[in-house]
Amino acid sequence: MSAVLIMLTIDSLAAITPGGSNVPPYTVINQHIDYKFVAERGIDVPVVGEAEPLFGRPLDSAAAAALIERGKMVIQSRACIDCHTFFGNGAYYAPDLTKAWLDPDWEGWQAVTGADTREGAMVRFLMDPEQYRTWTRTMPNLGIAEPEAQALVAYLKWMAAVDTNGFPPNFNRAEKK
Amino acid sequence: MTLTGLVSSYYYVNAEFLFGILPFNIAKILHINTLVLWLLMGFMGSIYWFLPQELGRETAGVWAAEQLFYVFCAAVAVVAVVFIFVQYGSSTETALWFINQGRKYVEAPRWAAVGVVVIMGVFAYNVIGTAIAARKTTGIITVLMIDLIPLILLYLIAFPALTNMSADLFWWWWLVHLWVEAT
Repeated sequence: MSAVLIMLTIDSLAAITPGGSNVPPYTVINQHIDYKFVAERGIDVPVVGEAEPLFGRPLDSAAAAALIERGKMVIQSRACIDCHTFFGNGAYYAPDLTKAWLDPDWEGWQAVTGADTREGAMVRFLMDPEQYRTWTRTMPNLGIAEPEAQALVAYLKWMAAVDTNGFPPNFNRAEKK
Repeated sequence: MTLTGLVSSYYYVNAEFLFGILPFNIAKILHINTLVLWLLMGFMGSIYWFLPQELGRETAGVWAAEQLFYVFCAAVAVVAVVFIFVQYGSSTETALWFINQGRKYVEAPRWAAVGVVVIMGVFAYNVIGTAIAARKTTGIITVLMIDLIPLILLYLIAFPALTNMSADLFWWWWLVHLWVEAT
C-alpha cells in the first residue's frame, strides 16, 4: 500500500510540477491563454497561444517565477482561499478563481475601471474592490498594493493555463448560447 | 466556534453584516480553526486522563504537560485576537510568521504552528516516557505511539508556502485527510 502511494505521489508530482504534463511553466503568462473543448477528452482544456505579455512586459523565467511567487504570497497573506476556491478547494462564499483570468466579464470591467487591458481592470478592481461593488456579496478592501495586485493577476493568468481535467466544466458556455 | 459559525452563516443572509469590520474569511478562519483546536485538545485531554489508568503510573513529564495546557490556551487567544483585529499583513514572510498563513485549516501564523509541534513533542514524550517508566505497553498504547509519528510529521505540511497551488493542495490534502481525519 505504501509502495503504491509512493509511486502515485512521484507520478502526480511530476504531472503537476511547472513544465509537467498538467501545469505550464510560469513563463506562460507571456502568452495568450484560452479554454477550448477537446472532443477526444470530452472536456475543455487550456490552450496556450501566441505572445501576449502581461502589462506589455515579457518576462524571463526567473522574473516570471518571482512575480508568481509573490502572487501566491498575496493569496496566502490575505487568506483568499477562505472566501474563494482555487481548483475547487476553499470556501464557497465567493467565486472559484481557477479560470478567473478567462472571465468574459473583465471586458465590461475595463469600461467601468477605465483600464486599457484586462489585466489593468483586474489590478484596479483588486486594489479597491469596494469601489467596484459586485452583486450581493462585496469583496472587502484587503489593502492590496499595486505591485501585489499585478503579482496576483499574473498568478491567476498562470492558474488559468493549468490543465485541471476540465474543471470548472461549462465555463463560459452559458454566454455562448 | 459556534458564535463565529453563526456569524459566517448569517453573512449568506445579509452580506452587509459587519462588512468592513469582520470579513467572511476571518469569521470562517476562527470557526474552522477553533473546531480543529478543541478536537485536538479533547483528544489530548482524553489521553492524559487515560494514560495513568492504562499504564498504572502517573504520566511522565506531567508538569510540562500541565504548563503547556495554559501556554496552548494563551497562544490560541493571541492568534484569535490577531485574526480579529489585525486580519492581514502584506505579502511577506513576516505576515506568514505572525498574522495569517492563509491555507485552509492551517491559517494560524507560523509561530503558532511551531508551538503546536512543541506541544505535540511534549505529548509524545508524555506517552512514550510513561510507557518506558511503567516498563509496559498495551495494544492501545502501542497504536498510539505509532500514531505519534504521522501526527507530528504530517503536521509539518502546515509550514511551507509553495508557489505552485497544485503542489500546495497536493500536500495539503495529506495534512487534512490523514492528519485531521486519521491521526
